[in-house]
Order: sequence, then C-alpha cells, then structure tokens
Amino acid sequence: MKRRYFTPIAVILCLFFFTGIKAQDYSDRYGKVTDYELEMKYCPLDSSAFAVILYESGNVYYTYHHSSGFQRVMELKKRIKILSEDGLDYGNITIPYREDGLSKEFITKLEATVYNLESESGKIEKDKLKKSYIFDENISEKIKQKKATLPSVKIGSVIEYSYTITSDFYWDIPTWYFQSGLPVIKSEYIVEIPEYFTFNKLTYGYERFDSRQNSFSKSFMVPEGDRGKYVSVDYKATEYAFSATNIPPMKDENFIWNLGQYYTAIEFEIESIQMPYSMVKSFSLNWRDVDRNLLDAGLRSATRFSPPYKDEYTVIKERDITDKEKIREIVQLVKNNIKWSKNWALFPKTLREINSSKSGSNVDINSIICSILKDLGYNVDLIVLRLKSNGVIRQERPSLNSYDTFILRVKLPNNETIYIDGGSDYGDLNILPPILLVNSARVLNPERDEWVDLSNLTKNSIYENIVGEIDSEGFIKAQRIINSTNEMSYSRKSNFQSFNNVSEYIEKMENNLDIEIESTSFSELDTLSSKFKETINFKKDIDVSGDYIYFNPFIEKYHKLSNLSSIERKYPIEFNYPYAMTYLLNIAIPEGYQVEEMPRNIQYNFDKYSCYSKFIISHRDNVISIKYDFMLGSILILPQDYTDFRDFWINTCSIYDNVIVLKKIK
Amino acid sequence: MKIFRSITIFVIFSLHINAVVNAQNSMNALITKSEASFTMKNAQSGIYSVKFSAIIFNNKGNDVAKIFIYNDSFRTLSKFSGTLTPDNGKEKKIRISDLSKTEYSQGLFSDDIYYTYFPEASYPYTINYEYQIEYQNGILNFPPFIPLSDEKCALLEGSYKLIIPNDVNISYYSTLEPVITQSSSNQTEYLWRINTLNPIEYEIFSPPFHRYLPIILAEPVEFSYDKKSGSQESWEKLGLWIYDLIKDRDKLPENERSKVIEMTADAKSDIEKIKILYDYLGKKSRYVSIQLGIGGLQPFPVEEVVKTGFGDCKALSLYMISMLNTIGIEANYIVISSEEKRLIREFPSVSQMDHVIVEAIPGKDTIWLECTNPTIPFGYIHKNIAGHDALKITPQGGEFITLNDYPDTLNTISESVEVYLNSDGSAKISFSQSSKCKRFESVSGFSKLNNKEKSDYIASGKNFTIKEINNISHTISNSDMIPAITISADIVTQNYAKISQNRIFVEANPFTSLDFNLKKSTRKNPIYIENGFAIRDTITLHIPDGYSIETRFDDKKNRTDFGECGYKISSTDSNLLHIITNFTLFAGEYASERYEEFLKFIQESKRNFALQIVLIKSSDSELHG
Repeated sequence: MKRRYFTPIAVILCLFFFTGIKAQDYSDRYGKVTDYELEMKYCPLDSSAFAVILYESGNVYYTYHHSSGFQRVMELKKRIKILSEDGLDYGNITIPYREDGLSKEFITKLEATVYNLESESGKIEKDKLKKSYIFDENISEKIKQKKATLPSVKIGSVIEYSYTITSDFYWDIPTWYFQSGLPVIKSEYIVEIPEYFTFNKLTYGYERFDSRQNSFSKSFMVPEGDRGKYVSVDYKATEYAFSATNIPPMKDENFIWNLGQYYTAIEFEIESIQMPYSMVKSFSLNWRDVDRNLLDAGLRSATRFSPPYKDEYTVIKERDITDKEKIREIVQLVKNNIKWSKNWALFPKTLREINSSKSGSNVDINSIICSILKDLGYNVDLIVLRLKSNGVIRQERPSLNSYDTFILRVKLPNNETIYIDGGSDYGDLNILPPILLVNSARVLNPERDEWVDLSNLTKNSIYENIVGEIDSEGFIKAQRIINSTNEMSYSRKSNFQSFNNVSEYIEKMENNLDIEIESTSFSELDTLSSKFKETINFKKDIDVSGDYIYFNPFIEKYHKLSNLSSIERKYPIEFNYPYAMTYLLNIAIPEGYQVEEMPRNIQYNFDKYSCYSKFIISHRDNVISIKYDFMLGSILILPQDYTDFRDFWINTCSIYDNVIVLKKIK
Repeated sequence: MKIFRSITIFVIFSLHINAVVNAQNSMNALITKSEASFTMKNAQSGIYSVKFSAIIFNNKGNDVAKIFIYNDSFRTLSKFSGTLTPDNGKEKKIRISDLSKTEYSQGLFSDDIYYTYFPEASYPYTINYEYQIEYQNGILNFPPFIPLSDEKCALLEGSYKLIIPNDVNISYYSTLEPVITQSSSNQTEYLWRINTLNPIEYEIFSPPFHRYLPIILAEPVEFSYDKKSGSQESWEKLGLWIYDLIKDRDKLPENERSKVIEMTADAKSDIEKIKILYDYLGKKSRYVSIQLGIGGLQPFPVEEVVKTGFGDCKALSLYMISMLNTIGIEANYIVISSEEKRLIREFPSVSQMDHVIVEAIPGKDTIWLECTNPTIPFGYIHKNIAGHDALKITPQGGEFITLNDYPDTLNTISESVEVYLNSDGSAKISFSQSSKCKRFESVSGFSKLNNKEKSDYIASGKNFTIKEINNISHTISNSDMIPAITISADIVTQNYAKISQNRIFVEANPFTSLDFNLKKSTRKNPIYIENGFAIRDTITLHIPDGYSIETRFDDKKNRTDFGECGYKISSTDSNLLHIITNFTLFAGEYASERYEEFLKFIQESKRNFALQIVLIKSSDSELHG
C-alpha cells in the first residue's frame, strides 16, 4: 500500500513529458487498472464512443483427458471502460455456448470486477460479480447463454471480467474479431495447436495486426492398461500469437451488402486431423476437396432426385421449340408446382418433403429442375456461391464454409450458357436476383477448377419514352412508357409485385412524382421473362406565374442526392448491377408561348468506372425534345475514389433539376 | 404479467416525416375458428384451452399462422397438437416436439418461456392447432381474448368461454355481452360468441388497432397471486394490493440515508433537492431487468439497489421515492401504461399497465420522474407517458390519475438559416435547428454521434449536398423543464440552386420537406393524430449581385381543424429575401368522411415547403420588364 503514495507523482511526470496517449497509460495486465483508465472521459480513437474496450485477450489451447478426449479451451479476458449512459449495458455480460447431443461446452471461472474511482476520497472501489446474478438461458435446444449483471456500474466505471470455455467441439477454434462496434485499445489472440491438428488461417478487414509463431514440446498423460498406470506422450505444439492496438470502431454505411466482411478478424478453419498411429483425416485442402466434401455432405443427392412431372415434361420435350424455350417451360413447370419459400439454402430437403409441402427453398426447386433437365439429356452443373449479403468468397482461401447456396448452369449444344435459380420470382433464364450476382462462383466439380462471374451476365437497361403536351392551363398531359430489360426488369417487377395490387403501385407513383395517373397497362408480368413494360398516361400540374411557365423536363429523379450525402466514406460502394438508362421526352408547348430559356446540353463522365450521364435538349417548331443517357458501368466503387464519384453523382443529380422557361408571346 | 419497462430515446436520422404505409386491399388470411376457454379450478389454478384454424392466402398472412405460446412460473403448456396442409398437398402433423422452445429474454433475465412455430407451406395453406396451458400459483387475470391481431385478416367464428366456480366473482370488459348459464351445480359458464369479423385495414394515422375489435378482458375480482391475495373491485383496492408489494421494501440503509441528507443539505428549494437526487440516481444506477415470479410485479428491496447499483423501473422508482421521503419530500409510486394513453377505467386491472414512474410533490407542484433513463431531462414528461392515465399508489389505496400533456405548439422543430447564394448556384449557409419537447426526444441522440455521423445527420433530408461542414455544435437546455436541443453548423454547398443562362431557380425551403405518404383512395378508418407538432423555418436568402426576383408570392396562411400552414416571403432590401414556412399538426381524432379535407390540407402544406423562387439577371429583367 505504501507504494501507492508515489503513483501520483509518476503520473504528473508522465503528463509533463508526453502529450497524447501512450501505451503505458493502459494496463496490459489482467487485474490491474491504471489511473488513466479510471479517469479517462472520452476515447481519443472515437470521441463519440460510449464505451471502449481497453484490453481483450483470448487464449486458446488443447487439453487431453483419456475419458473426454481432446478438448479445446479458450480463456477470455476483457476490460471495458464505460464512457456514457449508452455504455452502461456493458455491465451485462452474455456468453453464448453450445450443446449438441453428447458434445457440450462449459463456461467456468466466470468472474468480474467493477472498478470505480471515488470522487471524494480518490480511492479505488472494487465490486465483484455475485453468483446470484449469474443466470443460464436456453435459447434453443442447441444454443444456450450465460448472462450476468455486474454491481455498481456507472459512467466512468472500468469493468473487467474473465471466463473459460471448455469445448468438446475441438475442431472449432473461434474466429477472433479485433474490431467491433466499440474502439479497441489492445486486442490479443493466442492459439496453441497440438501437431495433430492443422488449421487454415484466414484474415479479414482493413486494420493492421501483428502475428508471430513459435513451436515447443509438450506432453499429456494416457492410461496404460487398466491398472491405473499412466504414460506420458510427447507432442509438438505451435503457438500463434496475434495482436492489434488502437482499432477504430466499425460503423454501418448504405450501399454495402455485408458490413461483416470488413471487420478486421482472424479465422481458423480445420484442415486436417492426424492422431498418433492413425490415418490423416483431411477436412479441406483445396477447392476440389471442398467440392468433394460438399458432395459427400449432401449435395450429391441434389443431383440425384428422380424427376417428377414426367408426363408434363415429356410433352414439352416433344414440342417443336428451341432448347432454350424448352428449358424455360420446364423451369415454369417446376415453379408452378413448388412455390419458393423465400429461403436460400445450401442443401435440399428430400423430394418427398418438398412434394408434401409444395414449397421449398431455392435449392429444393433447383434440385428438381436439375433432375428433369438431366433426364432430358442436358448438360447441367451446380454452381456454388455465397450470397452477397454474407460477404465474398476469397478464391485464394479454400474453405469448407465458403458457400451458402447453389444455382444451375446448363450448357446447350450450341455452346450457349444458361443460369437458372428457383429462388428468383421475377427473373428468367440468366436473370437472377441481385443477391446472387457475385463475381466469383464455382462450378461444383472435384475433377477440375472452374470459376464463373455472375455479376455481368446480362445487359441491363431501362428505356423511358414520354410523349405529350403542355396545355395553356398549366398541365403536362403525356404518355410515359418504361421498358426495362434483364436485371432492371427484375428490380422493377419485384418492386411492382411488392404492392398488393396495381392501384397501390399507381398511388405510390402518383404520390412520389406528384402526378395524376389516368390509365395504365403493364405487360410481361406473370411469365418468366426478361422484360417489363409499363405504360402510364398521366397529368402533371406545373408552375405558371404571370407570363411565364416553368417546368422540369424530368418526371422522375432517378438518382438521389440523399444516397451519397456523406462527405466521406470508409468502405466501398457496392451497387447491385451495371445498367444503362435512356430517357426521351418530346413535349409540345402550348400555343401562344415561346421558349424563353432552355438548359444547356451537358455531359459528365467518370471514366475510371465507365460511368457517364449525358443531357441533350433541342426544340423545333413547338416541340421540345430531350435525350438523357446514364450509364453505371461498374458495381464496386473503391473508397479512395469516393469523393470523385460523389462529385459525378451530384453533377448527375443536378441534371434532374433543370428548368425550362416558357413565355407568353405578346 | 410483468411491469419492467425502460425508456429509450431514439434519434431519427431524417427530417422527413415518413410513415410506412402498409395497406392492402385483398384478404391475407381467414381465421375459420378461434375458440378459447378458461376453466378456473380455484384461486390458484385453472386450465386454458385454445382451438384455432386458419387459411393463409399469401405470405403477408403468415403472421396469423405463427404460433407463440407464452409460459412462465405461473403457467405451463401441457398439451399441443396441430396440422398443416399446403395447397394441394398432404396434411402434416405438428407435434409438441416441432415447437421451438426458448427462454430468450430481452432484459437480463426472466422466467419466460416461449414456444414458437413458424409454418412453411405453399399458399393457400390451412393450419389447425389446439393446446392447453395449466395455470398454477395464482390467477391475476384470465387470458385476454383478442379475435384478430393482424390487418387484412377476417374471422369466421370465434368464442370465448369462462367456467368459474359459483363462489368466485368475476369482472369483465367487452363490447359484447356473454350468455351466462349454470353449467353444473357449482360452476357458472360465461360464453361470448363472435360471428364474422371483417378484415381491418391499417392506414396511416389510424387509431390503435384494438379499438376496432370486440376484445374480451376478464379477471377474478378477488384474486391470489403467488399466495398474495387482493381485490380488483376498484382501482382503490387494487392499489392497496400493489402497495402491499412495495411497503417494507423501501428502507434506505443508514449510510445512504445520511449521504442523501448531506447531499441536499445546502439546496435552496425542494425542486433543487429533487434535481440533485435525480442526477444522483442517474449517475449511481442503471436499468437492468430481472423478472422472476412475483418479481414481475414486486420491486427488489431498495437496499439491494443501493448495493448493486441496478434495478428495473419498479426498483429504481422505489429507490427514488425512499430518497425523497428521507428528506421530507412527498413522493408516490405511479403505475402506468407506456403503450396506451387511456386505461379502461371501468375495468380495474394490473394487466393494463407495464411501467412505473415517480410523482414528486415539492409543495404545490408536481414533478414526474422517469427513473430508468438518466438522459431524460429532469421533470420532462416523455411521450410514452405524457397525457397517459395512471394509478397512484398510496397506503390508502390506488388513485386514478391522468398525467398532463404538452400543447402541440410546444413540440416544435424550427430551422433558422442564413444563406449567401452565389451566381453559380453555390452557397454558404449558417445553419441552426432547434427542437423542443417531443421533437427534442427525436433529435436528442445527436449529442451521442461522432463528427462524421453529426455531419451526416445535418446533411440528410436536404435538397442540396454538403461540400464542407464546419463548426458543428449543439446545446441542450431544459428551462422550465421544457427540454430543447439546438444544432448549428456552417455549411458550404455547390448546388443550393439550379442555374441556367439568365436565371437561378431556388427552392424556397430546401431544408424541410413534408412527406406523410397519404393515400388518395377512400379512407376507411378515422384520422387519428396521437402527437401534434409544429415546424417553423426562417430562411434569410442573400441574392447574388446583378439578380432580381422574377416570381412574386403573396403571403399564404390557412387554418383548418387539422392544423395550420402557410408561408411569408418578404424582402426588406433588393438583394435580401426573408422566407418563413410554417406547419402545425394538431393532435386529435376526426371522422373518416373528413379525409379529403385532411388530404387537401397536407398537400397544400407540402407544396408550401416545395415552393420555387426564380431569380433573373437584372439587365435581362429590365429588358423584358
């Protein structure tokens, strides 16, 4: 205790010599809290953070016991500083754990201390977690969680806790996230792996972390005979140590399919197990092994359904239509019988189960389509991929949990390629829902390596044509025809179908565009088709003021400023698909008026990503004509190009603000 | 039944006033049969049985078929069976083992158990199920009967039956009258029948859903709950029972007592003392919800809160009361609903309330204290309780009260900006936005944002983009217990106005846009505006040299039963324009026939905010002039 008297002096000296935050301000020992930590009012890494993880460490190692076999143990330690009200919830700890049949996880040695600096005495108060405030909650049969709440947690508190998870799932080493929603001052992960296990290490994210490794010998005891005698077995262990400091928090932004993939993290994936005197049990070495593994795990059955609806598809087979048309009809046949349940899956259910519920995941439907197409002699492959919402597959890192669904590819005798997915309600052959449009999907085949890019399968476009007139009352009366194709038709159709009926769709359009719709027609809605045509006859009130009429030649603003209102951005922008847009307007001005002022022709380019917008206006006699083109040539805009891209976007948006001025002829 | 609410204040990241319209015309599901019955054995136990069948037409009707069965230490699921039949498919059995069971609780811990089942089948499908729940250890109320819980769903046939021992008095609330018969020598049967209920459609600004439904609430007048018996014959008697749960739990440990006295000793007034203790509560404690057994209704002892520094609304409120009582200030335990403004007055019941607050009485005044969230400014009555009915608990029993509410004109959001416009359309803006009362609640989270998020918040909802933003700051005030937050910043934008050869087109108010997303079609429900508010924006526009105004606007002002709107554009100087746009929406309820009128008012208001001003190069204007 005596030594404490000297601490304040040391602190003053430190402040004198160093400005800013120094590593020594923070404790890197569990059980020790520094004055700086107790006194800090905000986190220099993020001044708005309501709490900061001062220190976090995970220590993973293996134990062996002759009755339970290998177990993976993880010791976790964490120290958190509470900075504002919203951080108080970190005084509650939730630790999930698993149970699956005989395999279990156990949480032990859960302990926690709350440190508070008494304002008057300057003394450090310590409060410990009490057993009566530790609870177990069964979330489901296999998932449980331990919950605990700590005493005396206030703004300013430093919370420290530790626990040990012992797991029978020895092949599973937890992924370590250096980054979180809170800033992290120091994070360490140490993993010690016996020579019997080989793991793949996968790294993620933009923040830097250090790693080192070293090997040493260890031993464990096994019983010899049944006399209670034990013998020591030596083995080599390798320790991997990772550490990172001062990691800023993750914050969500729009136009991102999956924020999770940008978290800085390290993942361990089991590759093989070789026990003494046994064969190597391999889990994943290369993509072909991954393929083989998937087939064994259940995907082989997806290619071996016995094809239903034989009578119907035999009729289709006999018809005098092209292969492509036949395939479209077969897809339609299956979708008419089995409704998509809106779920994506990797493994299909059994044909019997699918037939009895008449509904299924995309791969349930795909498996049935596959069986019929194969029976008809088509060359069908399964294309495995990861949904965009779950992040991207990294080709350099073969991994067992890379995929979460599959679609079908048919190669026709004329070498044409067709992609099909049962989960696309508004698509067609080759027109897949945006969530599947990944740039790296694999042809499932353990015999060879083939990757395909699904992000650019089709030319997507929207073509809008407006013809009409302005009357002297101040109304635009016109017909608007919107033709969308491929992915664009998918998007517009799915939006259209999200309304309960046409009148709601119309009403929404009336509301958004401030127009009055007189009549409409929609075509190519129900069948598998790559097109969607909307015809709308409408009336729009425009601004008449004295002798002047002011009007905006754009009925709809296709791009919005609000999409990119942030001045800066940390992560890439991810668009759904590339597309081209054309907007044509031909409008007659009322008699007795002349064009007073017209906007200028203008073009904006963003060549790096093959994007442009181009506005051309002309008038002849009493008709004003506009042609506007927009091209989105790329679907991934890198953060370093954000500012320039945003400028391009703002310029493009300014085109939609153009005003034409008409004046009464005197 | 549990009372454990905490109050959170959210940030709304947009100035647009959006509302999701989820209206449909077709029916999504049809409940063919919904039968429930409760057989009361005695004050402690009973059996609840449910039989349910429905046809689900599309995925929007799916919620109707989802099964949620709630259990806790007072009730246990004892039987379940069901079937699911897809369109043209085979019937599939749903067994008790097919239900997922979870103890998940949103708070820290509770004894809640949920059994759930989410069917998956091709449409239209049919679901049938029945189950039984055994009640033990007390019955506070019989399970409520809510014939419909989703919009666009109809009911063909429903019934609710209570079988009650003759010596038990019950009370009930429903728009329907039951048929009462003597079902056996010692039991009385109450039977409610509901024939066909047409689907209800949700529309924006609709009154609460349950108002359209013949819901049935019932309870034993004299009850026992975890061996604590009481009466809900009147609010007064119910209050006595609640008082019994809290009395003797409010003892403050001696050292805490002296601390409280010492802390407030120098305070000049009672209000100041209350404020000191409210701040102390906020600093010292936090909200943690642990609900076990009677603990759903009975607070932890104050001693435990002092020791651990946490508690739920009941425990934190009781702690606050005992601190106030220690220094001789009267304070009461107030049980309230955070969801419903009005309690059903003729049906005294605990089940109508879910939250506890504190009424402090310094002399003649009354101050309402929300003890679960220290970010709520002292004395401010937040929107989950303002104007709500409540029950005051005193040793003499319960007293039915109503909290006061703020006038709509106090819930303001106003922008006050000065714009220096350049002839290339760019502008420098000194921006300030001030939000009060209920509008303060939506914006107060601003103070928690980091710089980027603050700048994103200011940029959002504007009809121009921000190129540069500097000097972002905010101040929070709470004078006369009316909280306000003022946000200010200096903004540079490249696209405040659109230019052409001779003209500049400026939006009169690009800072606010009104968008309620109202449907034009015929209205079915009455118009119900729960919270009124007011917008008043003042924009001073400096016109670039060499330009003058081409368009002229007469001032506009319109007052209707629904609210007020208008604008005023004036110019004191040839290159200066003062633009004031205002809009007030009154809280209230109006008949559906008046919808067209309401729509007109909203559309007019919307246009006021979207006004366009045209500036013209002066020489040109003279030429044409």
